[in-house]
Amino acid sequence: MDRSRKFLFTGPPGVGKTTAIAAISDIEPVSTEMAASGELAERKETTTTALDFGEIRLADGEIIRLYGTPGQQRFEYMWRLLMDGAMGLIILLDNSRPEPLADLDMYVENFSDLIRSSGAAIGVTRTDDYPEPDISTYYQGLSQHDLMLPILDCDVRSSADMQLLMDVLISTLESIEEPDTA
Amino acid sequence: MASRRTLKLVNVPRREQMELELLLSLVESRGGSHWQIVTADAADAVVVDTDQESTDDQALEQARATAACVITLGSHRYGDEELHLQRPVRMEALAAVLHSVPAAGVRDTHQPGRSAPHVAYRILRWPPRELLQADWRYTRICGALMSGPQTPEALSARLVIDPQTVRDLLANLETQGLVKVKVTTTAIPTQGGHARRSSGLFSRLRERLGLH
Repeated sequence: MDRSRKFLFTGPPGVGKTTAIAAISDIEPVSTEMAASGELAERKETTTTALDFGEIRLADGEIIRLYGTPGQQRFEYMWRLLMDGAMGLIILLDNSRPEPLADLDMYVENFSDLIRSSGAAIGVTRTDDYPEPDISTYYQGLSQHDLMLPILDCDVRSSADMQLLMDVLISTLESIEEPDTA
Repeated sequence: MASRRTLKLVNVPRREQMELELLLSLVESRGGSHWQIVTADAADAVVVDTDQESTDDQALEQARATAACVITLGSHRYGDEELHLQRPVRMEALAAVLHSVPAAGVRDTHQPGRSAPHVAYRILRWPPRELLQADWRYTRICGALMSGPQTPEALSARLVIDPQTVRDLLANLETQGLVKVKVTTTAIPTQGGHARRSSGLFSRLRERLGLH
């Protein structure tokens, strides 16, 4: 029987989902990549069009899988597949993008079922160079969805920041219910 | 409409009088009674600063004569007063003490079993990353608050974190406007599923990630 469990990482293309997973994964993340096109080519050389995959291996042999979703909305069908059975969600947002609050709205709406049935935490990246919108503004945006989720600024390259984001997510999930172990 | 009560201050420094006025307005805004600081001889309750040299037995007797209830303020209790505030005065403690003041026209008598008000906190926003990284317990406390308003005592028992750490964090968050305080006279049920440290999957996951 497959005893693995999973967390999802989502967010716009180029936000650093692969890097975030790499910061906490026990294995080298497996990414399906191909050459970027259009606007994305100006931001990075490659973009994930399938998904990222990482693992956290617990002492008792249980495996926690980390999935990074494709960023573009046209892969929405894959988001729905990945949401099934996920324990929680991390949404990464990029403050350097033109409309990060619109990104927040889009991901919150599309992952609403998972957020409301389980839980989520939001990490906002690149706030050092792009301080606006500030975290308070993100909370205001979130309130429009009648949601209160943890929102922290973070650097996806930092293991400490990613560990904190995971700890925040876990602490939120614990307040609801701790999953049974098989 | 909140009931209107009067409070007299004896030997309390002027600066602290202003702080108490602010705290009283906060107590009222959270559902408590309206307390007005008065200088008249008679009042519903009197706060006597026992840290001041001018506070002696005579001052205490005079205070008892002018108010139905005496509340001592300072580093030690004085006499057999049951209501006491320690410095620094916190809204939660002040609300609890004022709630215990007998109704108007009733002199202070010991009322065993009288339930104190419950001060519960609801999280509005998470604190900044820097604060959470300062102490791993802060993440636990904020996470527990995600399930609904809870008292410091309930959080302490549920998370097995010492009460002072919980209160200090909540006081800090309150000053930043990150939590909302509610004073209620009925107990708030403990939120969440377990009253001990997580020992299952999440505990093992934290251990693997090097978290507490």
